[in-house]
Amino acid sequence: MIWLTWRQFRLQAWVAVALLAVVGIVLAITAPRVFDLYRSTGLSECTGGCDDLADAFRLQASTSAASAAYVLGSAALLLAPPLIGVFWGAPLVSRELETGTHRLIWTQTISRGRWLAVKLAGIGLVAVLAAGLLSLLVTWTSGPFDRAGDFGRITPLLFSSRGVVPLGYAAVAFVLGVAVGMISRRVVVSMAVTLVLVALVQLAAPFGYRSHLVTPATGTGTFSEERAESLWIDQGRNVTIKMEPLERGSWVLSNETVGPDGKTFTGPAPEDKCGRQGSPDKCNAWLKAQNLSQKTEYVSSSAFWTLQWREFGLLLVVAGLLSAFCTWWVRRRLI
Amino acid sequence: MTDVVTTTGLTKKYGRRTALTDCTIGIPAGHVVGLVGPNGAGKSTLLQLACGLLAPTAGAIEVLGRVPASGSARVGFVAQDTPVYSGLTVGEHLRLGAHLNPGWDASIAEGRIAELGLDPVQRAGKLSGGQRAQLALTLAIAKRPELLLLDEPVAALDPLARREFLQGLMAYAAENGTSVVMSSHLVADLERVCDYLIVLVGSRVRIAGEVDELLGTHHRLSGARRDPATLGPGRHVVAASHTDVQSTMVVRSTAPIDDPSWSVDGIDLEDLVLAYMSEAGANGRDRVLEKR
Amino acid sequence: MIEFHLDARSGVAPYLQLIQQVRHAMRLGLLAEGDRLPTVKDVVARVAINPNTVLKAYRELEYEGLVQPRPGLGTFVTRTLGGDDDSRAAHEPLRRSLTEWLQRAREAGLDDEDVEALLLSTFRDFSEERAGRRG
Repeated sequence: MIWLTWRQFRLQAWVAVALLAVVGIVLAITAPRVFDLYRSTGLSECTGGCDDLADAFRLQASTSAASAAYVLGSAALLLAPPLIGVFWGAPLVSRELETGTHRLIWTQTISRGRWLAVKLAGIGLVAVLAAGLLSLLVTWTSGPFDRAGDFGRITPLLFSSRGVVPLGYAAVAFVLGVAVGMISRRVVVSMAVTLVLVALVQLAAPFGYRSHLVTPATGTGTFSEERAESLWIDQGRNVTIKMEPLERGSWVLSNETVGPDGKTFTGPAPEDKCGRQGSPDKCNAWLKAQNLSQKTEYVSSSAFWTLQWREFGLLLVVAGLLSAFCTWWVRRRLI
Repeated sequence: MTDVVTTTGLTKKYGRRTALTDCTIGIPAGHVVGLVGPNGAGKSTLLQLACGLLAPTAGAIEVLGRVPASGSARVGFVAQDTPVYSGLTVGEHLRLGAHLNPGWDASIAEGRIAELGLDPVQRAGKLSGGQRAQLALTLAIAKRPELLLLDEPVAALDPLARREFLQGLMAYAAENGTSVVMSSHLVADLERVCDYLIVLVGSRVRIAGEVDELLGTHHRLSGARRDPATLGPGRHVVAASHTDVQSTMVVRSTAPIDDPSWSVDGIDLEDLVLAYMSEAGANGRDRVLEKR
Repeated sequence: MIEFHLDARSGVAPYLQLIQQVRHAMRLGLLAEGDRLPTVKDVVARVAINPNTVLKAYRELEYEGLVQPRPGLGTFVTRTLGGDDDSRAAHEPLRRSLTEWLQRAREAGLDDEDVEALLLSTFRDFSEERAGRRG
């Protein structure tokens, strides 16, 4: 059965190896330059107040191919789960059902449950390992960028393509594809549906459940002109102020500028200070006098690994439940 | 002799459509059984119920004394259109069979492939219909089952491939005493090879029995036009047609018919089956069911 | 060794066809005492026919005393058919009287089909009568 699983999976496996190799080679070529810069700018040795060094690193790195490779690596890890679900998971059972070969294979001396178990475990494991290898490569080579950038690796865009969660997504995407294929019984339909569902799962993480996996930190900061990231006054004299995050590279869940009453500050800004008769200085002085403060909720980048393991665990549970569903379905329903 | 397949009130529905209705039969061992009926009569359904690929909606089925479950070593199955993995070679199919069947007989498998002149490194997707059917049959028999189920195995084959397939099948059955149940919508396919017949029409079993017995108890009567009801007791009119002066009927009767006003002839298997198919069309509710 | 063939359109039951072919071969001297009949597997592999049909034909031949199965070896012919010199000597006079009869039939205005029908029905009645008397 293991031989058959491998034999039927061989082509897809080689395609995956080829893609992995491409990403690997690109990263291997560009990585030395990245780590050179990391050292030469002094960012690697820096322990506190490193913003200037980080800016220097970014400025020099952005002109090199390494920057493109960094984007490619992250994108590869975000694309891996949908690809695994669509090309490995979805056709696994649906192709058998569509071509009728399930009638051939299920009448050999092997139970349907065992047949599926070997396929799920075998290819699932390969999917997880492939994602793991890619994640290791990308997490390592993009370390300097993650540290130097405005977007830390805890932020939604990068979190799913670093650390251990890509392994979880690969597992979920694969089993989800299998389940969809089993229910729809059509290869093309199941591939399309799987693509949509896996994308939804990937989106559901940052916008849905991820922030519930850790307790976000709440912080208050004082208002100052330097720390204001943007200041906007509209026609109706309403004021919108956005302050810099309290921690650079953290995942900001909410960030409001509030007045003394604790409510979001909206003005109105007086015409004579901030309007046409006013001046920036007058307006700033008025803002300072309003007794404003920053109220923010964020996930610190120090919570990265805690969140990684928790989300990974959750994804493994989901993959396990989906596998159990598939086994039940193939044994009881698919008859 | 024991029965290889026993069903009682076996019914299978797909949603609202009933594929098999209240089927009660016993198929004795040691026979080559023909399962005949028009397309969509429920032949595939019955066979798939027997190998555990389908579960009954109602009623019960026992195969070799057990409730069938797919993955049994004792039942071999060749599905309709004889599916094989188009990407795998002939040799890889044998390897697959050897890996998945503890009772695999490599000498049978390799012997057959050599005899058929199949190239082990050829992809199964490149085989002709006949070769594919032979490969599927090889997989089914090399696991050495006690019962072989074949779903329309020769339907798509040309006459030569059809003959070769049946030759191989019969040779195996003769050598091993394996019971065989095979379906077809063409009686001609089954006429030579089957000694037991089940006629399935409109999801119901119309008649089942040994071929010799069926041929011995069915007669074609022709004579002056008269009402079939006047034939007398113990005679079942299977099919009747009338012109303004003449009546022709196919009658089932265990006792000989010695009424001199009729001209009595024997009937061949094909006409017998056709008579039951037309009967089903005429009075679908009247169910004829003959147990051995 | 002989080879069987089957005529699906003849209307004769397959096992009877096999019996007839064995008898025919014995008459023609193709099968003599001590010769082996093909095994059941050989027959079905060649003719694509139900094994039980072959078994039935062989049983019937055995019952008639023409063949004898030897376990593990096969089925062997036990006697020679095809008549002795006496019956062969009778052929010629019989043929002559039949030719005369045919001549008379033609003179009476019967065509080929009429002759054939008359021959067959008379032959059938004759056989049935004999069988009836025996039974």
